[in-house]
Amino acid sequence: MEKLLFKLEVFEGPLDLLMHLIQKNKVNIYDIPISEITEQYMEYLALMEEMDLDVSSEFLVMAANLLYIKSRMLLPKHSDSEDTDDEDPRQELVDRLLEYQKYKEISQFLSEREGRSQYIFFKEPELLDIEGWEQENLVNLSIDELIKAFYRIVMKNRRKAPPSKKSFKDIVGVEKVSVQSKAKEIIAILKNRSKVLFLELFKNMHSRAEVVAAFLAVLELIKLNRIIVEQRQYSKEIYVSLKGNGEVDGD
Amino acid sequence: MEIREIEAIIEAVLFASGNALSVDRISEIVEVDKNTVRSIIHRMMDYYNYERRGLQIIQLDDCYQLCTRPEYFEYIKKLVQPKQQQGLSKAAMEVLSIIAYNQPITKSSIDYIRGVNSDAALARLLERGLVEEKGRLDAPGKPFLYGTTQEFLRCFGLRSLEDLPILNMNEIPQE
Repeated sequence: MEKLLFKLEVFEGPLDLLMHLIQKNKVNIYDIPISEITEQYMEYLALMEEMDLDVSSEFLVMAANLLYIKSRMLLPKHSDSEDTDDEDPRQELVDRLLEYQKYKEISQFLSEREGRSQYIFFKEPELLDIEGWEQENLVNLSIDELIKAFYRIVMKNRRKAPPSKKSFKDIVGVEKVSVQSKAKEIIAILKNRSKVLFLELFKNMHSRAEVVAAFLAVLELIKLNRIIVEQRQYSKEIYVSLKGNGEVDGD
Repeated sequence: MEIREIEAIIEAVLFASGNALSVDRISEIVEVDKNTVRSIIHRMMDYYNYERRGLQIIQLDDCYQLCTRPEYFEYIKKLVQPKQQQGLSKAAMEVLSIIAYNQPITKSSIDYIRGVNSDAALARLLERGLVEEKGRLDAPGKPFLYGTTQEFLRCFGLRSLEDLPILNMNEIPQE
């Protein structure tokens, strides 16, 4: 079987689709064959669903509306009833379609004119600060003030400039200090001098990492029972000394 | 003041402003009544057009703006790479047409006329500055009212909304 290829037009909405169907069938807009048009409208919706297109709710509302009109057309008219309002049930739809059609034509007109300004160039407004001109006395500006202004800019820029590498040294120093090597150093110091001030152990240390490592080493050595940490009195100096021979084993 | 002098002042002021200037403002500046200002500017416009000058004065409602003449676009293009402004979608164009003829109008009225939701199209028009909010309707929910801008006139080469084709809404014959 030959496969049918559909080129599905995209419509802006149900009114757009209805106008298309009316024009395609060359029917009189004031006398729409509602049954036929409804059928074609529903076919189109089915086609959209088949092609996995999103059928927006507006299309469905219009479908319901068309079916309603169709059903009202089928009902016999009570010509001599008290209800003299025998308006064509299609009238409202026709009005809407005609109105919509007008705006479609207008949008055609606008489309043709669109982008005319693309070939024209406009100038940005001048930054006119006329009040400033009148009030400030520009002649009295001294060299001193100019230098001061320049200095301010320099200072401002300095603050804005990225901090030097040096200021990062303590934070992200590449130097790695192992607790083990520090422990060895501490033992070596204590072997030379039997008793050392706790604070003295941290003398001449450059980086935070080194201080931390040394402190951890002290704690580790206390835990391993290699050293003794003493304090005579609360908030007095802390002394560190070896316990026994103070040897640090392999690890 | 001589007319030539007034013309020169208006020219200088329009150049410095860049933006469109209202007749009110120009009349304040040159201290000449508005009708005279209008006729002088129209004389200038005719002169610019007749001489095919590089600049032209365009009218936008009761405002005037100095800009280049489109004929020389090809040459200006050599100087700068103009931004390619993408055209409006069919939907946006429809919404714009409806607003242009019915302003101020609420979004729900636009939706009703088109029979479809117009949120995205309206947002695009607002973004492009072709339409703007013009207050709120005194009705439940206080919905925004929308209208076209001066940019709309500029973009579509219209002097005022009167340049839009006449739309006869009473064409539907009564049976």
